[in-house]
Amino acid sequence: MTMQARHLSIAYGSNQVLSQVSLTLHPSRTTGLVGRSGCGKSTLAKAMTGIIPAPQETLFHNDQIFFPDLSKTGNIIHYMWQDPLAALSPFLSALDLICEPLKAIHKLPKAERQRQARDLLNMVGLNATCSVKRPHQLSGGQCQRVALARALAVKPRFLVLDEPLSALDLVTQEQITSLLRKVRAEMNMGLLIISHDLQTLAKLADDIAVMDGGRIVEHKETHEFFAAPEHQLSRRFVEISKYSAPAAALN
Amino acid sequence: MVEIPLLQVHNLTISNSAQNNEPLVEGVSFDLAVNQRLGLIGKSGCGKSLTCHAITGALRAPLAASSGSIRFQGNDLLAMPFAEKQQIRGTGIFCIFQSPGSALHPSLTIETQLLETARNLSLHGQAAHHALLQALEAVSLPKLCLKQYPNALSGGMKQRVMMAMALILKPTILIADEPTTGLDVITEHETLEALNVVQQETGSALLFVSHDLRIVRQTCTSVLVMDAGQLVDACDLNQPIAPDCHRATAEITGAMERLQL
Amino acid sequence: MAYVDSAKSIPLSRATQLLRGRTTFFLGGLFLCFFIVLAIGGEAFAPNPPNQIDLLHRLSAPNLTYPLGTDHLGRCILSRLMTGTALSLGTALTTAGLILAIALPVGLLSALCKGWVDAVLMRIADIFLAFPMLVFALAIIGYLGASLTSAVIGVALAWWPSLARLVRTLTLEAASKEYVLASRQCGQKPLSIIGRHILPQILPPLLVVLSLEMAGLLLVLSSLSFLGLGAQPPAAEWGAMLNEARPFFAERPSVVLAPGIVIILAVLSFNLVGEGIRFQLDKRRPYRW
Repeated sequence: MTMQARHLSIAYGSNQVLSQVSLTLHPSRTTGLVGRSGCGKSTLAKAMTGIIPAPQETLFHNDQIFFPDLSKTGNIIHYMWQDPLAALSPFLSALDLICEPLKAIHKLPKAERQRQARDLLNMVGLNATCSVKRPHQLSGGQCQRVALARALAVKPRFLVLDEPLSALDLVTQEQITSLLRKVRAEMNMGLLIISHDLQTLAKLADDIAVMDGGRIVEHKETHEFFAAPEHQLSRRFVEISKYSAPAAALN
Repeated sequence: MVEIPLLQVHNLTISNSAQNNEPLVEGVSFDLAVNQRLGLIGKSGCGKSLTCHAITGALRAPLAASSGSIRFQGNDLLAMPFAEKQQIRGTGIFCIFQSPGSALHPSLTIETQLLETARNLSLHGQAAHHALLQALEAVSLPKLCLKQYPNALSGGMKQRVMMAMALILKPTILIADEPTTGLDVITEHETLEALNVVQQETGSALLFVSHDLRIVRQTCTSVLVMDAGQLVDACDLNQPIAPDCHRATAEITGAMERLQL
Repeated sequence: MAYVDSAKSIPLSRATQLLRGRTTFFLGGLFLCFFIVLAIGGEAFAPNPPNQIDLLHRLSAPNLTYPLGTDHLGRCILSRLMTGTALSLGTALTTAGLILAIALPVGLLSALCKGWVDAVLMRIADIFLAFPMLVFALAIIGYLGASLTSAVIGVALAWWPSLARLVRTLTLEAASKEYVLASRQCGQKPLSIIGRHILPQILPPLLVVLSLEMAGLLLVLSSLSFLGLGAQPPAAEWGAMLNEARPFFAERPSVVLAPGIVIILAVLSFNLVGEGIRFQLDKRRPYRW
């Protein structure tokens, strides 16, 4: 029950965005993908979920060839956008947004749909007053919670979170991090979390992959990674994530 | 002799005239002294960016500063005629905004834009070029950037071009409004280092606006905390945070500690 | 760095605030209601029979019997304007509806199916666009025979391609929004994607454009009436009245001005309502800190 990318390469003209990337996602395991901006982490995630087309015979689900198709395979591998406000329809209320996949994928009757949607809202820590609001009436953190609840409503086998924290402020980042820990513990799904912030990945991921210039340059268990980062970029990331001396010490 | 602070914000209230003058920022007062590095933190939507826009005079129309004063070297910026404000902009107060992409002209090379800045200080020819190269070196940008257009540069590089501008202008007050939002941690680190260099070289007072106490700690010595449009707390970052601090401060420091490795 | 000093633009923004939103909608709605009432009961309210010829009082000034004067055949202008409402607005609305009925599916199909469907539909639209609009309409009317119905069909067939192109562009942009992709990923069927996510995005600008096009439609239909290819005399139609009265402008300006002003008011009310609808449908806040 794994999701694999094997020797996945994507180029736009002469710009090689991904070259020969291989990555395996395991069910009920969390993989962290870290890298500088523009290194191709989002492209990899989007190719694996069918947001952008991937070359044939590069993706495998349970060792079978897998064609990601946005409107059909969203319940197998699901992508969650970075900016929650842009990824939630401004025309629907939070509750309706969560009901969408429950109706379309799980074909639940209306009452059951609404009950489950309320449960999910509860789980991500939103109260009843939020359920009737539309995305632009919610704060960034609340939007991210709604987006997460919707992704959970799909019940995908693998969930890809693209920079789930970078649009949020520090306090909200911390709240969403602990929410994601809860999701990881309670839901039985494989997670791929993309981030450039090792501090949060350290709290969430079982293993960490580092990308640089369209390649995966290092992939290790989290504790091993922090103990002995090999690649130069990994070392730089670990160094900065541990660096938090106040300005007084600097001068 | 009692020194007059560079910037005195007194009782600043910003309201939205489109929505019953509902105040978005209320009664904010603080001083910024020469050579001080002051952080302004708070959750998103707490009004820190608005305060910053009010100081630079960039508030957009239904929003306006409805009361209070912002004194720069003793003169009230809010009551000042347009021409005089124009004098202060750039060399007096310089602001590095959240999105460097929209702060640079897309169809002029970096060199043209920096030379334009230098011309404001009546620097021409060789002298201007020299100042440019020095500024670029200080923020560790390659010389190659001069001939490029903004779209060829990454977010971090654009932000460093803005800092090079600050180096050329040597403003009395440098305002940085979330300068590292959207940058990855390594770029963020480099940008902050460049900002440190700029501050040390120009001797400007720095007002650093951010939601992230982790990076504010790297640049500032003291910090103001905003919550729901009001200034609720002021902390010295050299001291441990007092246990009797405001709820908002506790929330932010708590979040930082829990996220730290 | 140059900051835009926006403090001075506040009074202007107040004025635009007033013009957008509710006020606009109510003003436009009021005019439109007035026209609808006229369209339904115009004949009953009219002071004189619209086709009653009184050659003794041709081109007379406004008086008690003829509140807006008479035309070159001595017919009461006010009565003709009132009874003409139903015909003029009715044909324009029917044409607009017909155009939308062709352009919306064509635009949606070509934007969402892409590939050869898009290519074929858009090439057809291009062929239609290559002809001058009025000439093309004339050709169709010539084929169908001169009548108001064929005028409506002719104009609609000549007019749909430009709107279909607009629908296609709007849909392409709307369909690439992240929340539309996210919704597709949640298993939504194409029809419900169109209904719930794409139409709400494209209808506001489309309605505004269509309300502006109403002006053009009114004028084109009346031009056709003038050529004898639309409304047949003695039917009272605003455009036909305008064109019939043209030679007598110097003698009695009100003969031309009255239908002209009515057409302007009708166009204005459509524009105001269109703008009002757009403002009401577009509930997103204009700024966000």
